[in-house]
Amino acid sequence: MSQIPFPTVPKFSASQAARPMMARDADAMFWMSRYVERAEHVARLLLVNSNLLIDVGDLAPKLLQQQWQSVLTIMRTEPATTGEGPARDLGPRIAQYMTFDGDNANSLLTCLSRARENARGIRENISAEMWEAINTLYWSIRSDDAPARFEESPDDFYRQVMTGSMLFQGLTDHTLAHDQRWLFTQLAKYLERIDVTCRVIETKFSILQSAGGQMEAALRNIQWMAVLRSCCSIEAYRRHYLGEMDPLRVASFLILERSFPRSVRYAVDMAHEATAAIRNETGTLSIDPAERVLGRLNAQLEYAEPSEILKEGVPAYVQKIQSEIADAGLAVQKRYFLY
Amino acid sequence: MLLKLTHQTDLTYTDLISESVMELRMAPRQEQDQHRLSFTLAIGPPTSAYNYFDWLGNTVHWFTVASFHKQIRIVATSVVETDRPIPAPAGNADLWPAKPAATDYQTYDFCHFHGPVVDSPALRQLVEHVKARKGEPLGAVAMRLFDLIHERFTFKKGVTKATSPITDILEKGAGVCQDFTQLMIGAARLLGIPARYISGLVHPDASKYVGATETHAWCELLFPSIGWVGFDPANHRLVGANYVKVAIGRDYQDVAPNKGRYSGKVQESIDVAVHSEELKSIPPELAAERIQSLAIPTYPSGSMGYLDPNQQVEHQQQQQ
Amino acid sequence: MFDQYQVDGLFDEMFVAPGHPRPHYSAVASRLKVLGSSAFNKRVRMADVTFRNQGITFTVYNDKRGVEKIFPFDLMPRIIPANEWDLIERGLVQRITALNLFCQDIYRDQRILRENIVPPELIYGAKSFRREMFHVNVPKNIYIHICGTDLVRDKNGAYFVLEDNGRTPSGVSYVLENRAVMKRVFPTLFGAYRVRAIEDYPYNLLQCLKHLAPTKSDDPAIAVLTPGTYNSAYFEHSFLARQMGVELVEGRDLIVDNAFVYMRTTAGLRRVDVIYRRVDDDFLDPLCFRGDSALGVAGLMNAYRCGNVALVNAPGTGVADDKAIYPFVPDMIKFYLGQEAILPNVPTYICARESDRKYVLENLDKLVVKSTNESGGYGMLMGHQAAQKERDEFAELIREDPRNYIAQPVVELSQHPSFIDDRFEGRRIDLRPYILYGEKVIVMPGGLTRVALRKGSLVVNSSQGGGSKDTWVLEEEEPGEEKLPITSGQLPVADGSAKPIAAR
Repeated sequence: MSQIPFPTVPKFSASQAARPMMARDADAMFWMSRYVERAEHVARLLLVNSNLLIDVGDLAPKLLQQQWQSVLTIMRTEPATTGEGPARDLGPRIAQYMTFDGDNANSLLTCLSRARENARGIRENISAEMWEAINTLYWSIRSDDAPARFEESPDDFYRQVMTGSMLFQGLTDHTLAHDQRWLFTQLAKYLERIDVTCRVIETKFSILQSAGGQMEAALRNIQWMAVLRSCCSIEAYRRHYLGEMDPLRVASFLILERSFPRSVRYAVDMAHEATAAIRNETGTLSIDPAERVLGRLNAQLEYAEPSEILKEGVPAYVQKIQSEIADAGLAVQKRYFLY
Repeated sequence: MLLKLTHQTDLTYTDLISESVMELRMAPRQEQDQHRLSFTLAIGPPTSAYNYFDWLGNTVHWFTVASFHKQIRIVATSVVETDRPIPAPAGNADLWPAKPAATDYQTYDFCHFHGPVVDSPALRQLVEHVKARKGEPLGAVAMRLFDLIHERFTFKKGVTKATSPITDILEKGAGVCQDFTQLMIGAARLLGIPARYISGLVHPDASKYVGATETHAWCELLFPSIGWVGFDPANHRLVGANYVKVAIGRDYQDVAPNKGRYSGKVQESIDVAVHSEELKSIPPELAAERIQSLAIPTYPSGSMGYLDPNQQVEHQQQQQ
Repeated sequence: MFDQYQVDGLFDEMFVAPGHPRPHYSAVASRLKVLGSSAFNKRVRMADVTFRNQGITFTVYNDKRGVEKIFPFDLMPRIIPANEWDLIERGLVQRITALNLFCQDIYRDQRILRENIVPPELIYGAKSFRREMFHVNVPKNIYIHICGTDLVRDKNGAYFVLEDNGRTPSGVSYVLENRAVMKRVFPTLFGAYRVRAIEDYPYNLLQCLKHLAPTKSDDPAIAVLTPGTYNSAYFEHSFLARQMGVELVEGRDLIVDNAFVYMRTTAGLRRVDVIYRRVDDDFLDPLCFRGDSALGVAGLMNAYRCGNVALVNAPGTGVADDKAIYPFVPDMIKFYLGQEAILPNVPTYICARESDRKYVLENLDKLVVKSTNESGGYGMLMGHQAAQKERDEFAELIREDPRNYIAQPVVELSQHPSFIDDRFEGRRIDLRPYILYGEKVIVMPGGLTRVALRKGSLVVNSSQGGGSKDTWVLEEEEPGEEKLPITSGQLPVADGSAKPIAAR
């Protein structure tokens, strides 16, 4: 008797009588979660960048520009209003642009507005606690006194956004039934995390590589720490490698570390589990393309050798991951949101 | 007169569409002077058809197609026996202005302007030329209006649209049977004569008729002593046994033979063909009503391309 | 706080005369005196923040800064004693029963027209009269399942019905949220009263919807149909869906296939049995009603006709709450129920009638003129306050389309203390109770008390600068009954068998 290949049983448990979910609501759920995650990344990038500039003191104008430019590159944002003006104002201008500019598709304001707008359309699918958290977070950046608070302490301001996002995610985990509603938020969160993390790695590695030997060792170390901070990983890395900064280790930690929730490998695993669980919840037996892409990527990362990453070059390696993640995102939309 | 009528409608689309919902008013009415002996409705792509009577007593069939398709074909075949003498509007005692009985509010809808049948100075001017006098026979007033429309307006396609109000035919002096009919209805209502719109089919009867190869339209005016009397203003003929009434209404909007909605950004084109023949005897396979399927294809959902290059570029942002 | 409070010759809900509160308000009055205005003010701000953070808002379209607004909440509750409520409740049950019989009759036998109780031309001329509903079998023969009837009190404190809202009445979410916020910021105030609970409204509404499901099932699929997030009442649509635990859908989420309605879910199409639709008749089904509607579902009315889906309220109920039909409601009550109306109407002139029209045109400065087919305070003339030019414009409108207008004498609405700039001032109020007609008729005890926050204004609509209050209907006082102490002594007593709480 031949064995019938059967889809792996998902780790996430599926409830028995699954309540149906509107395709449009799933779509909104997905994007709500994705925008919250994105806002957290944007806030952290801006925060880390400001602090980095304090750390390194008077950088050469070129490097300064490169640093701020990298924020825009990571978020794939065109500098719409930042072109002109004296170089020393560049930081504040980009910070302003990435925080409050409503025309910038990746500003904090836009991310949180969209997250809230999506949430507003599915309030009957999320918990009151989640709604209040996202609504409060939205008003904290939308209210009249927000620019003044930002002026006073950008640091506090960004921290507030980050904590607000995390509070929202925590509430999502603890006030929402872990059915397909929750699964779509998880899938979105991890896809976004993979995407941004890959772009941080890609961009920063490119900058550091192009700088080559010109950079002093101390400065170099600060830069590597900034990469880890941007991915919320500095402490975990230090615990793992006892504080030694080494490009290969940084890359393999951020990409391949199995148990750290900010690593690409972990996020891919979670996203893959979420797709499998969603398939289970919606009663489909055939594996959809998103699950296939994520499953393959998961296996690849699981068995990857750190040296493989170097062979291809770190930027090229994460670019490939990004394009696969993009495919997975599209496949999810096609399978579940097409209404 | 024993008539067999075939009414074929083809709707074709420039690309695949999904989710069509369609309503048909194609089954001839059952009336005192017209009997529907048989009605067969064939629809493709294959689907189920349902029916109901609307508020005017017209039979409405409707169906949905939920899978992707590029074409819909509807063939309605009826066998009808008509027994309608050519009316003589002048030969009765009704006088103008006719006073509808106070309690008879049923004709309210046929006395008031609605939809494309709108009041206008040009319409009032036209009605003035009828020169109706108090106390003269109602039939004479109606016939003068009928003749006046025939003299003043020419039948011409492409001048007006399906949604044209009667101000269009008044302004351009030309239109098709729908415009002629609605114009006469408007003028009659202005004269205080209840008037209604009839959609139907006409058997050519050897002589020349406009609208014989498509669905036709004419109107009926209410005479208190003899009831509704049919006038075909586009052909300037009184309605006899070679006319088959399908639906009645206040105006075209109430009686449209097919009315539908579909999902998809495509162009629709419609092709209608009506064929009529006089039968010698009732065919043996006669059934009161039959619903049949036509082999028009549907396509699986995968045939609709969802990902296009633009979306690939924009996938990072939500479709707003 | 009440030092400068004026009664101004109006009926004041709280005071018989300055300084003399009515008995059922005396406990509130004394508590507020102790509290003082700065503490009250603090609670007002607390309430505002709560409303904003919870997103309890309505949408204003012409507002440049953010489209959402908080419905102003006036923290001072309105109190209705049990005996007054009893009258209101009986009056409302009678009214919704008659209005339903009227809809049934109008779309079937039309006895009331044949017997000339209601002039047929008013029905046939009504924009809200849906010929498409003729001879449609409506589930359980109920047309108006949810009705919001606006009540006002005149100078003498007598209750009148100002209008019925039998299409898609809104505002009930504010009633429930007002109460929740009130409990949050002012828990102590409740201590002095036994206020009837309103929190079971969503449950009652759900039972009402379930009652209409076409097939007997414990778990019919129910959905609230909303025009979308840009609709001014979107908050309410979402709120009710959440409270009932049913789906909130837009037209594009639904599809009619064969004779059934389905919603598009992540797992494919799922059948829908009952739709609580908050989309107007006109936009419900582009195939049946307005063809340019993008909010509706093509073919929905066909599924409805087949009895495979219930629509709440039924299409065509607008004919019953049309302002030109309103004057005939007492006659309907007599005709269908053989009873006198318990709650009277405000006298009304029908401009479609020549004699009435003449009177209206001659007395525009003494009348309120309303468009018969609009709501929300639009299309309205307050004759006694308007400029001559406005009156002339309205006279012209009335002559052009008399069917579209009615007129009523100005009702000097009762006033109630509202907290304005650190002290209480009298503001005009009305009351919209909500009535559910399912297996039986249930009137929610209370309703939306709307306040005209502009001084002297008689227009309470939210779109015209109105606010709202929590409305307290009191329980019947049993004779000799003592109030329960706040701590009831019912706390569980430890019996030693319970495991200790883990600690370290």
